Amino acid sequence: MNRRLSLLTFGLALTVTLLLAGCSGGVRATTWTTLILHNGTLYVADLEQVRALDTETGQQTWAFPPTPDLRQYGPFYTVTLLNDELLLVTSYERTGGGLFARSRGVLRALSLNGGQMAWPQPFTADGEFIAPGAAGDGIFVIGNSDGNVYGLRIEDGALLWQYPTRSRVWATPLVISDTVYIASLDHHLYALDLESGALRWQFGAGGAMADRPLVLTDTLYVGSFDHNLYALRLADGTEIWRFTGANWFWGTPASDGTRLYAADVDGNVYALDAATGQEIWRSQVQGTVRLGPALSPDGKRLLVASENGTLFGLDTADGFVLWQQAGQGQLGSMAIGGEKVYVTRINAPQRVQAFYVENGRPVWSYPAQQQ
Amino acid sequence: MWDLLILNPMVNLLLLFYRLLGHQTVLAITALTLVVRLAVLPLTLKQQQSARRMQELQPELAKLQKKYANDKEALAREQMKLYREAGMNPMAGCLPLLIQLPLLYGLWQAIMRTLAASPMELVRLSQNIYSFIPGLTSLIPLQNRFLWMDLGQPDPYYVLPVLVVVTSWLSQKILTPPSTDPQSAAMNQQMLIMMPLMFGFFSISFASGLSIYFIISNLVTLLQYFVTPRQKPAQAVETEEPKEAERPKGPERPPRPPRRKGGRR
Repeated sequence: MNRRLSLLTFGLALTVTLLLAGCSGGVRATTWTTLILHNGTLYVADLEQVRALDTETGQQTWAFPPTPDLRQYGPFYTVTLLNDELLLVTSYERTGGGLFARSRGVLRALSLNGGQMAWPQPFTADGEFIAPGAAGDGIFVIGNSDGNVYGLRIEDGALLWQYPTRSRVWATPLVISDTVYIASLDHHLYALDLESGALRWQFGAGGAMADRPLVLTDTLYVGSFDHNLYALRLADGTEIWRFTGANWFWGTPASDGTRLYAADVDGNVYALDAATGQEIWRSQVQGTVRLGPALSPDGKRLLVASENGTLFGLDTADGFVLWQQAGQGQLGSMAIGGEKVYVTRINAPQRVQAFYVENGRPVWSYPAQQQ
Repeated sequence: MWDLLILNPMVNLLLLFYRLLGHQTVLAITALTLVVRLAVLPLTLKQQQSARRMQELQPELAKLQKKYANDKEALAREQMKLYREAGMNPMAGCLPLLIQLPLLYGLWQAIMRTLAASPMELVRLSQNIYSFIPGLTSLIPLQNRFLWMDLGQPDPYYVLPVLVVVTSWLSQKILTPPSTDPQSAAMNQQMLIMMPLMFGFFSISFASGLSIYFIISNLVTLLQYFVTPRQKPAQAVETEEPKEAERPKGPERPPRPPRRKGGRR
């Protein structure tokens, strides 16, 4: 009986171990992958490599590193376009050796045309870089899970300043002229001087803030985990109005200049009057929605990505769901270029896909689907 | 169904403890671990009781094994008879363990989910928080600094993994009944080494908040073992040689008397 009990306990423990360790093999992503659209090329941080893909065909033009090397570089999560020459990529790499090896966030500059390294050495931080950064006036700004916002010289990656917040910074900053606006999970939105990193003002919400604010003329719009979407005065962070949804607002809202489109994590999609915060319509999609919605260039379609891998096309007139395109894996990010929308997926065989905005019809997938 | 019945209540309870205990994540994890352990206490006691009774039956079982060394069928029959006469079910130790496991796994999951070390975990957490309890979402994310550690990351200096291995070994050691069957004894010995190492591996790989849970949980097991009263030896057991078991002298070593509460002999 002892033996049987021992075997049973051991079997259960082994099962639990495998379940918890996620015995799926391959790269186990901790956050989403991102992409950027620039001059007919799609730059994608695709875990194993950073790729440049042709937007028309999905063909790869270059990759960094040329062959996947997770041991050296770790998984790649974000890409940021600095200018016409440079691309900044972040990864989460193991540094040091033996028992005391640690994972650190690493930031590299790559040349846009061939994926060559452009900085003398990468910039490293204690935590993971979750979201892409933003650039302005020769300075690159990015938040880190170690709670800091870093300002780096674009030319060589030298650290110019760092601003500590009280929690992790998982949001992309917004740079407008000489000011950086960045949200932190410490419930605050900070306005920092771009050149020195000095605090200009801060706005405290009732919950964490996890994505980039949107700006329309002199107003900032930012969502919070306290179920509110806030409109703030750009100059000093004074609250103009707030709209209360059903759950957390995570992603950046989209706007056509007069209307604001936002989604909460429960899949409720809202169209609001940007000036007053009055609700125009409310719709719902299935699944958890983390990513901010994207608006088509003609303003007729609103694309909403859910964490269960489905992309929805809504009519901006009334929020009616016109089409939906289900897929394997979670949707990481999306970008609209002309008549197509490009998405990244994780935990799926097809990691980059293009669809027509109008009807959701697939255009291509990377890697190409086997016939 | 799992989220509704197990995970969500635990996540929200953890958040409530976090609010009540001054936004101290370690205290909140400790409180939740104690509450869950208290909830499964009757089952744990039953499991410990079963292990102890099994321990007490070892001399009798040894005799049966010696007596029926060449007749496996008779040995099994006599063993079952012995269990029956002692009023115990040989699988009684398994059932409480099986019932406890989902709860303990839920507790593990709730801690990992609430610590939300990665953005993906945080998104999932948004679906676990009760909206009818005001102010819970404003607690997110939990304060993750404790001493030199980020509770959402593994301990970089391996202090917690070492503590996890040591406390796991101790609690495993006291819960494993000694066995007279050499095969079972070898298996037990392997388990005694492998289980703590496995938990040590978890501790190195996962958030250090989880290691806090392992340590608290192991300490509770040890505490439970030392404060619960011991049962007297199975006097009511009648075997084919009832007197033999009670005889203090003889060719075989007599069974060790049970330890008394609060003292050593």
